[in-house]
Amino acid sequence: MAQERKPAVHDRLTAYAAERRRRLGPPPTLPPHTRRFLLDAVSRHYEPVSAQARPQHSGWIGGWMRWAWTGAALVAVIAGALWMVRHPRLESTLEVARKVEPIDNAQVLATVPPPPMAAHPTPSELPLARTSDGPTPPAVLASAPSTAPSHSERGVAFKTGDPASFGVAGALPVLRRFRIEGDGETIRIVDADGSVYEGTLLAAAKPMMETVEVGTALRGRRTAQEGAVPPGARAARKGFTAGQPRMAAPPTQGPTSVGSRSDLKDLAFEVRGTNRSLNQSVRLSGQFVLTNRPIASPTQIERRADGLLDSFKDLVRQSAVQGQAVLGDGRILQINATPESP
Amino acid sequence: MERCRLGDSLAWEEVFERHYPSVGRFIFQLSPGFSREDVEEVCQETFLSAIRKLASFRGGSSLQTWLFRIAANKGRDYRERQMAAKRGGGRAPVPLDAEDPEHGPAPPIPSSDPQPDAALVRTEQMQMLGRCLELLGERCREVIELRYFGDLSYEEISRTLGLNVKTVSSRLSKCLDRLERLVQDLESRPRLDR
Repeated sequence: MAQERKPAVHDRLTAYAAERRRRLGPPPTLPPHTRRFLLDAVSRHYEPVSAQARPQHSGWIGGWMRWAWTGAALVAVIAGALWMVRHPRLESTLEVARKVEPIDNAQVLATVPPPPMAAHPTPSELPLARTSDGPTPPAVLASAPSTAPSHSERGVAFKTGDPASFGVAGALPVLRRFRIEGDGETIRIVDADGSVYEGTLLAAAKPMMETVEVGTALRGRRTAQEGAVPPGARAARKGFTAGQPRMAAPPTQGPTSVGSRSDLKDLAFEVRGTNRSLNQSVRLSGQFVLTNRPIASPTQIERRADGLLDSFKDLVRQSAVQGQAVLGDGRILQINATPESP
Repeated sequence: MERCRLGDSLAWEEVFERHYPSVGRFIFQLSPGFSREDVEEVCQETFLSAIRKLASFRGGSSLQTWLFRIAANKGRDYRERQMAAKRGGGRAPVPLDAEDPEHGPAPPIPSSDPQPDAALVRTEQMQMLGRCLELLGERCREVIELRYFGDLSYEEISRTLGLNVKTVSSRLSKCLDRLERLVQDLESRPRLDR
């Protein structure tokens, strides 16, 4: 091997190495600046590697998240498209229903089956006893908020099942939810934002029927129409005495009072006030339109025959309000809304 | 090494501390013209390359041997750059202990070197041997450097170069013969020709 045959250059190389080591002196040590430089190089070189390893994991998750979001967005788009497809149908159905919906009370009662008794308010829920036993609060005729779901909640489907049936005003804070109060000739509509529109009841375009005794009329109609109650017949003014004759109102739009018997479905009104949300004056003119909203049972009606105050409540319960609202800036809103059940 | 592969700074620091002196000494022997500053420069390049190329280290040899190979390549590149700089009019590095403008030149530090004439002869011989090493081919130079400057055994060289021990032995023998011929040839030339 090489150790066996040692050429002269071997000695030279060994001497050279020894001489260089001697000249070098102590072995070089790592200078601090070189140490920092190299450690920086380590961190620079290996951090991207660990950073690349993380995105592979997070990228996998991120991929699934992206897929999930994409799926959710797709579902939302499909749902929106389906709703858009159905919405025109409902609107068209609503339009048809509005056109063919009988204003005549008899037709309504004939086509709509009477609501189940369970849905009717129990006698204890009705303010009949109070109105008959003691003095009736004069200011409130139909304003007590019901513990039962409001008509705007439960009665959404009473026509079409579409909230759009509650009127064009849904886009503006005008009569989105409201209640109606009455006191004699005065009618007061309290909007959801607290705005109060006050005005008077007007005679309807149709002539008022002659006054009859309320209880008798209710019973007669109910008998004739298989138990259904013409709601308009129950709108009677407080203090109206059964059997007391009353002059039929003229066909003009003069002031009238709740309590005129019978076809109050055409009872018109005009109220004015300021909408708090819009800070604009609102003039609302319209009329009550009977609906097939559930009403009290005939027995209850009979028992309330002498409590005429509740007749207005029944009117409100069974009526929608149709008309138009003129805002202060000139905008006109078509109103087809349902007041909350008193 | 696994910790180094994961980028553990402490592991790398340990590598630097352990191998920097031996690598520096190895580099200093690669050329008679290398100074300590040159060693520091080449050492830094060597470890920087090791940081970047650790993935290529398969563990067939020791880390020190692997570092020696890198250092040999870096030292050669550095020497070539030095020579190119000299050919292009490059300036020699100015030592930090330069003459003080107020106190004049610093007093010379007592040296343990042999007498000046002996030192001069020895320096000339070293430079001639270095030149002969540069004239050798890469394969011969590498095995000689690893054997004489790195103090590696035949087995370590064989693992590093991926050769068997016999091949290393025969290659080293042939390379030494070539080097000797080069030295003799250079010594036989007139002094002015060198």
